[in-house]
Amino acid sequence: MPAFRSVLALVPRLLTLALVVGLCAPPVAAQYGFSFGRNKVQYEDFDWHVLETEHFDVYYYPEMEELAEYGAAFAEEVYDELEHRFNFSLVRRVPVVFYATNLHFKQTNITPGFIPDNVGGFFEFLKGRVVVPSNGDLHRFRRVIRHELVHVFTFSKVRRAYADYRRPAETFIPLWFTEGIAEYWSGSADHNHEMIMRDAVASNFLVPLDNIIRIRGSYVMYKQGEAVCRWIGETYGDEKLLLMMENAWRDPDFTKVIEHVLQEDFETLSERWDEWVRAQYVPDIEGADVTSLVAQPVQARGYSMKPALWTDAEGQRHVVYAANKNGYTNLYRVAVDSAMAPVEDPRVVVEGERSAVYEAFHMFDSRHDVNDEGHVAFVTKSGGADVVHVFDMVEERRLHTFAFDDLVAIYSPHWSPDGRRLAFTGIARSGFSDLYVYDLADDRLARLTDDAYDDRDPAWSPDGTRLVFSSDRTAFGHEGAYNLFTYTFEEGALDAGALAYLTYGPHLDLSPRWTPDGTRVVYTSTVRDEATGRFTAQDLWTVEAESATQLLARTSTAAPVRHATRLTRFTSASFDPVWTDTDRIVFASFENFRFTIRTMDARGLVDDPVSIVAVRPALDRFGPTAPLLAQRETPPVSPRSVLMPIPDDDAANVPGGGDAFAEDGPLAETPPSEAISASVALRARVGLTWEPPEAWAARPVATSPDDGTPPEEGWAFDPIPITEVERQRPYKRAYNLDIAQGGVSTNPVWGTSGGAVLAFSDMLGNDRWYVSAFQVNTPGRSFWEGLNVSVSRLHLGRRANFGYGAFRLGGRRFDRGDPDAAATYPVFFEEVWGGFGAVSYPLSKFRRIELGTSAAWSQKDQITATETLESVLVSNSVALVHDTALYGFNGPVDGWRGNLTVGYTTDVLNANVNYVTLSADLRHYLRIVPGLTFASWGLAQSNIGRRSRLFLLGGSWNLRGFGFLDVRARNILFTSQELRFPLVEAPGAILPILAPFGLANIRGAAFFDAAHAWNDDFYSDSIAEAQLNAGRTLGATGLGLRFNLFGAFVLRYDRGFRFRDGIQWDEREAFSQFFFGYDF
Amino acid sequence: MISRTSIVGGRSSAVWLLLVALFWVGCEALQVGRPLALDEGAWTTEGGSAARTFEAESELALPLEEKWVYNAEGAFGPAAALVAEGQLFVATRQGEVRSLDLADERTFTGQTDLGDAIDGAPVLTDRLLIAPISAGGDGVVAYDIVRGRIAWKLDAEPHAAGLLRVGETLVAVSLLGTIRALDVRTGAVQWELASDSVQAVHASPVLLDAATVAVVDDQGRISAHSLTDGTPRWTADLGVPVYATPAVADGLLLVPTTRGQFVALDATTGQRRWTYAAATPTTRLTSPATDRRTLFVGASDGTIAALDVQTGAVRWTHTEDGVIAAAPHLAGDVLFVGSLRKRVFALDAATGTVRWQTEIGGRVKTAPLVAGGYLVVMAEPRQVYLFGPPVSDAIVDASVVDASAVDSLAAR
Repeated sequence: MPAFRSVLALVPRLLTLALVVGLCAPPVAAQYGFSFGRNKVQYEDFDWHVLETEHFDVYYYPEMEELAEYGAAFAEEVYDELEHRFNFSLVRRVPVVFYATNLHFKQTNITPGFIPDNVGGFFEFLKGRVVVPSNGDLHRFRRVIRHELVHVFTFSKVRRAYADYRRPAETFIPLWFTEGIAEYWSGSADHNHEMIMRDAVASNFLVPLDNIIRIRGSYVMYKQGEAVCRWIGETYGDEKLLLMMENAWRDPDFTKVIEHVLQEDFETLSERWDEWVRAQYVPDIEGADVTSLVAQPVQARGYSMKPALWTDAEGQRHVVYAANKNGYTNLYRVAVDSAMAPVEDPRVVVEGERSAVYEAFHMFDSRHDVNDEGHVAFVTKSGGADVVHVFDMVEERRLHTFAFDDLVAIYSPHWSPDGRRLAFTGIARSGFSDLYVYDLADDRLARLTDDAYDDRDPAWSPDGTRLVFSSDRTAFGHEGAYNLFTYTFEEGALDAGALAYLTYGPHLDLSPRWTPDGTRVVYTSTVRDEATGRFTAQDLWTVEAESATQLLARTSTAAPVRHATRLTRFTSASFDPVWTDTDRIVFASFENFRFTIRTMDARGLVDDPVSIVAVRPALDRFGPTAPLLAQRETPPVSPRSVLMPIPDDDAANVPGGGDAFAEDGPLAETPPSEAISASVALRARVGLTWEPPEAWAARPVATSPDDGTPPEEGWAFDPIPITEVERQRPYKRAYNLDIAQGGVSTNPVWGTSGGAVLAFSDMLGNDRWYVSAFQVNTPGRSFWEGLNVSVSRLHLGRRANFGYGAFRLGGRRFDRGDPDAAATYPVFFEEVWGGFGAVSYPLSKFRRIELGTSAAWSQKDQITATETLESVLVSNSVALVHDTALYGFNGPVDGWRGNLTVGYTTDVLNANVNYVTLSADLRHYLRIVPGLTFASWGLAQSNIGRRSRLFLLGGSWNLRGFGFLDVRARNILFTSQELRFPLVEAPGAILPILAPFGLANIRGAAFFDAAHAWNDDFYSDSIAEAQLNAGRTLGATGLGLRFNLFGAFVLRYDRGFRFRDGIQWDEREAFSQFFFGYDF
Repeated sequence: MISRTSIVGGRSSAVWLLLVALFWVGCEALQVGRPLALDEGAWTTEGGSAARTFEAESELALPLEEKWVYNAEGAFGPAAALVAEGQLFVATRQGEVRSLDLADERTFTGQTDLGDAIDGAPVLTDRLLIAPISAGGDGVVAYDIVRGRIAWKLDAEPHAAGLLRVGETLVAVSLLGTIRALDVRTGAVQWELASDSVQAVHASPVLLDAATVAVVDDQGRISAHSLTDGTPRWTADLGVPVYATPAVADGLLLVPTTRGQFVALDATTGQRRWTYAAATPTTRLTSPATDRRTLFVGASDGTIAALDVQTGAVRWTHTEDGVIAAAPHLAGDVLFVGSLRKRVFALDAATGTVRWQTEIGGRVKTAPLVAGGYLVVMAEPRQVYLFGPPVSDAIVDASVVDASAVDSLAAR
């Protein structure tokens, strides 16, 4: 271990320095050396290309070429608009990196951190890169591109202002403003914005403008920031928003800038904004139902979503749902009675996000479904793509896991009534979202749609002949509307059928499910109110479903009429309704910024609806829609089984095996229809009547109704065809300077030292070079003897990350672990030349293998000895690292992590050094209740062989009560047990005077540490052993306080008593230690 | 030893003094040494006159070539340059005023620091350069360019709008909307009007007639006042924001807005005479240039429009890629325009066709200026570009070029 450690830990010291000071810390830097951390696994080897448009360099890979064409067009479209709006232009080309799906996006190395599911994209300051994934929804893709480009313009304009006035950009404009204006100027407020703001007013969590810092970085901050910018724009004019950017240099406190621009004090402005928000939303809320008051809870703890129903063989009903109660998303089930009231505590069905198989749930995006056998079909990310799991809730075991080679993302699997097939939404590598059906028995995957439209949440009708789903393949889709459609299978066919409208209009009709009798579909819907321009609450609706309106056909006769019924008028939003066999609706509700599962009496809602709207054709409202299968050529999709293939006997036992469509033909013939449209409410109860505005009527119609020609294809955005772009080229790595930093320090004892670090990387962040040089001035030594230089490279673009480098180090070293140094004064002068290499291969997000090697020539001049020690140390090591720890504000709170390392170090020059290193470091975190964690740490390390290095203990981070690294030995055993508990959360909210100090929380700890270190007979002198604190059992116990500042820094204060040789209290005086850092 | 140290110390002090003196000399103060002769070719205020017409007295033959580029070490406001006696005076957001010899940038004639950022256009008299200060406690600072020192300061709130000089009266409008009439020579306040409802003012005041001044605030509210005592003459409310300086021509007050409207008001009554609407209602319009028959206005959508002053009828439009953020400048039958896409071009004032164009190193947010036979363009980040006729052409066009400039060019 010693030499290995001296090389791999000491040698890249400069690199580490570079990382520590924030020089583009690579995402998996923690994979090198003895560390923990999860892995950002590079599952894909993207073949990057660059498309040069007028203002952008668009990075894409060939599979998503069509999507890149759309994205390039969106970017150019918004560039002109923003240039005009900002009254400003960009002087440099903007690199825009597109990914086809969120799962590809998660692999980006442009940002070091892990990217959660619902991050739409980001703008990175260092190289000015915009990174945006699509995920099947072109509208969202377009909006996120606009959002990020607003960031680019904002950043450039503000930076220009700072430069113009030669003011140091000590603080940039606050996040709420940059995100708020990005949302405000990327389009009209969407339904999510309205949901949050309406709920903030209804549930009274609206944060005053003068206290918005309190919610920094939260989702609410984004939406409130948008509302603030919208208020400023509507009240004072958008020009004032520009003035705020242009005047950002006037004061580091942005509130002063706002006061300067709006000429009012901030407190008054805060009150005005509050009044404005309430004036907007209170009328919406008045008379609306608070969900928690009218709907009974099925599960009201944590964040619970996506309810599904199951009745077991004993007739016991269950609600199966996804929830995040403690940081991990799990699948739960709770037994309920016929009224859907819980009759027992919920049980965990599947523990998610702690293993490679169930790596991550798409909690907000993907539903799940249970068949009659109690087999729940659900989706998790597993490796580089999504998979469909089938889990037997009776046997409590996973039956199958299906992965499909061509599908990256999968959402919302739904069982056919016979339990033989699964319908779901899949996103191929092209980035487009389509419907698929997988036949489990035949192991056959069929694609039902193949176009650029976004098809979501398919659900099988009770008779198995039709699917209902939500899609933007509507005449209103160009503006982002989603309507409900049915797909009627041809008799006996798996992948042939016909599409028809079920709803029609500029709504967002989402999450459909059939009623058990198959006559209706229940779903959620919201529509932009023509009077206010804002989306209404997302309410529960049903629509008659016995007929649907065919696409691509028209007649001159009256068309059938369907009725859509609005069942609720909530203050906030509802999601994912399911109609039970007892005529209740179970759904997810958003209220008070929480998602809960609730239930209402469906019959009562139907009998007393809010309004009823007719869906019927009208020639003058005809709008073109999408064909079933567009002309886009895509490779056939092939199923791939899987992590756990279906056993033969399982296939035979698939219930209802055989052709599910043999009995019934396509559902009742689809009535002849022609043009399609929506008309007005028939008997509105509270006035939810709407007339399509003239603009809709004027929507381009493919042909006149009577000319006999079929209507044209559906809407489409205009792409920039890559074939028309002259400058399209494969990506070639080129390195740009990311950061350069230097410094000089002087010390009366150690002399003067100074140096600089440079970091370079390529545009995709996959390849990084670090160059460092510093000089340590040592009296009596020349400049060259104290020169330290290193060059290293990290490559993160492949699954196996690797790094290598060369170095020359020279200078006086203080090394308490060096066996050659004197025990009392371990200082020597050393010159080292060498190189190192390291490979990290992630087995999954949570586990990896690390290999390391190094070779270094070293010459040490010991200050207290006359001889010079020369060696050529070669070290090799292999380590297995596991980390599923879940972090809270102050450190891990759940999960476990471990590091097992074996190494061998030898001196190939003189054979003076020759030893094996064994190390096991295990840490476990047991969350007793939320906020209360019992942490256990066990560490065993041994260096066996000649002249091996010493391991070190002592200090605030491990063996408390002892000096920093005061315990030194070749063999150590160490354990620490710590109970971590909350004291005060958000002290600033209790004592506002603390708020400016950024005190995020105060927590407590009760700890017990113990260690035994020994050196065998290496040091024959017992005095030396005593100086090393070896040969005895040491420990400490006490209490500690943890102060989290700004959510980023933890200050630690411990007070306790030391003990030695068992529980021998040889000291009566308590010790205190104060330092900073996260809990172990 | 002690004496040696003392000697060394003395030598050292001398060296330091010498260095400081050299440094001081290197930073030549802005000092002309005699009153300036403000002849017809001088450009002493924003827009060239109290009517803000952005029309040059001289013409400029095309094509042009770049003569020099000067780094002014500071960014520029919307109308930062003044010219007199072949000297270019440039005010910067760094708070400095620098003067250059137009004919040869190597003749850097001096600079001075007026304290804080200068956004609005200064004015030049024969002895004073008076600048509005947009930050800090000095609202207006007058610098004596003859003596090279501050002449007076107005201790007031920041001023982002340019100043208006009418004879011995200086009109200054603060960011808080306070209008003051000052004595040009002393800075003494002659009268002062505070805004009844506070609104910032970014557009410079403009002279409606010999005795009336108009002020437009950010909200588009216009008030006309007696120059003598500030008595209100008339008010009008456009209902849309105004950030760019209006002009006066042929009895009309010509007001550009930030909402796609260009409004002409009767200068004596404030009645609206006509309104031109750009294609997009969010278009920001620049200050106009006008020869009193036609006005020329740029827009953030890249359009330059020529409108009939009396009717607002569109004579022609020309569309460029990129935002036009700076006022155009009319010199004879040529309209000079700069864009945020780093282009400078000359349009035929009669037809709108491009007669000359070039690309420079930065965005143009400051109105170009024709004076002394040159085109001055100020661009980001802090560069002053001088364009003039090619040397051979300069001789041909000597009738319109300052003689000393020709000599200088010939010498080069």
